[in-house]
Amino acid sequence: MLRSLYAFFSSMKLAIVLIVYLIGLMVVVGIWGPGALSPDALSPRAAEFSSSELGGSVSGSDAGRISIFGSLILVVFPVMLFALNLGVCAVSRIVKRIKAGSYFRRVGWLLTGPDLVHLSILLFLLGGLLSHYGRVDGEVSLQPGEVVALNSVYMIRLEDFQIEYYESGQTKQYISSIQVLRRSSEEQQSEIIDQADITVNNPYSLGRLKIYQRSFSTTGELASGLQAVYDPGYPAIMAGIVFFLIGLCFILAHKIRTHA
Amino acid sequence: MLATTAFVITVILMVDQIIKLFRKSEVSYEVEQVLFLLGGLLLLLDFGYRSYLLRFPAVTNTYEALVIFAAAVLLLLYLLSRKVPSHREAGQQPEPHTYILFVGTVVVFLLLALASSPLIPDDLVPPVPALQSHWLVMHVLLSFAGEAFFVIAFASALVFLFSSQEEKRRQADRITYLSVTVGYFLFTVGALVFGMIWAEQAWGSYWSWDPKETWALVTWLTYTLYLHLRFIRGARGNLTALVAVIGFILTMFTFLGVNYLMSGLHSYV
Repeated sequence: MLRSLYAFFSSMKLAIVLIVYLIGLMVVVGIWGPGALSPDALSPRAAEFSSSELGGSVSGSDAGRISIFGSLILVVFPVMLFALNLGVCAVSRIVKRIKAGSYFRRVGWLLTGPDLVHLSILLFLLGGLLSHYGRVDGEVSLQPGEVVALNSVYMIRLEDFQIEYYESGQTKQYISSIQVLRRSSEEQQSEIIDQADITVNNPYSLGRLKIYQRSFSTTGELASGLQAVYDPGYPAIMAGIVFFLIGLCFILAHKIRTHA
Repeated sequence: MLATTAFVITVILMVDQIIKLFRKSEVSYEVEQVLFLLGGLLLLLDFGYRSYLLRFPAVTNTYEALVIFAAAVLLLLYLLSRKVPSHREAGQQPEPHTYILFVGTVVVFLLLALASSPLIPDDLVPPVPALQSHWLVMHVLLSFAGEAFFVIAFASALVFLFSSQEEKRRQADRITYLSVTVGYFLFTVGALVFGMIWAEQAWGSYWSWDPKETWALVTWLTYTLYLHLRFIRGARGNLTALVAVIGFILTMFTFLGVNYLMSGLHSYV
């Protein structure tokens, strides 16, 4: 019984059936999914000022994700099966190669390429899961001089907000100059622990928290829209990316060697 | 001007190849090699010149993407043409490579025809803030390098499907497999990995189910299917060749179709 279950989950045919299923599923998502976010990351939007703590709010893209991953016999079960298939396949291959001594031959370690790639996909799935359930993000619109609390310890003050333009008049960059403040024990007191410029593509990291230049508002006084994100899935995804790249390089190197 | 010259070269290449496909007398392919290289280099020069004017790598609109893609395919066709005999004896059937080079040239012709059409503006537009990232540059360049290999895989898969001679099919299958393998590596790193990193830096999320992301995933899964199908005895052959053809259709849909049918974060390219 166990042996036949193991054979079923480590089967290449199951992998192929699941890949075909995932292709079909992604085609459905591609045609009818949430997609269509704003094409410009920084389109002007109405200021949604809040001086309360960032966090807890769910953005539009998250709402979309919930509608996809929320309804989900069609997704969760096949993805779990896919993860199991990936894991069992990798274990099965590793065991076979250890028994055959393949890894211990000259440059045998290149054979770990597919295993690393499969492991990285498992890490992406784990990262996506952690991200889906643990991600907290929030956006706030600040005018220069205003302060917002990030959590019980840290606050940020927007010192200045500039919009740079090309000669043609097109926007070149949005620059928020911030100060990071730490609350001290005394009431009304806080110390500046860092200063930074946040621009699009150049977020500011404060531990596991990241702050992005997200939007701006020209309604009334110029205001900068900053987004704070805490995503527990990031470490797993970063590890997945590293394994993925190493695994792909090993596979390619192995193919080149066998081809040569 | 540079891209237009490359387009004219591609037209000459295409006509020349059609004539030589049907010619019964002795044929030399040395001129084609030079033209592939020249066309590719002219497009690279166009990319370089636009990048110089923009003070940023010119990879941020559809016209520039078409130019880069066409340059990558032409340079790959040049490399492939160097690997095959540059002469064909009188009365001999054309080698599979001849057809692959021809199909590749037709794809380049279509890409450059589209780039030259009024549908695609070629204005020099400096990048909006979200596009000012070296991750984006690597994302675009590696994606198109990978897709250039998919063009070769598509052409050789067609040769496989339409050829009846076993030796020709064997050669075509080998080229398809090699092209998909290298293309898959470049596409995965460029389109998915670097794309994810750029998305996180720009929008605070590795994945947003943007239509282009989703269709790139469909394309990637299709080539993943191709590579896994090759492990199944009996699935190799027409089925894998068909998957390579579908993969290329999806590649082109992800690149161009999504832009016109759906909106999203990738509306620039």
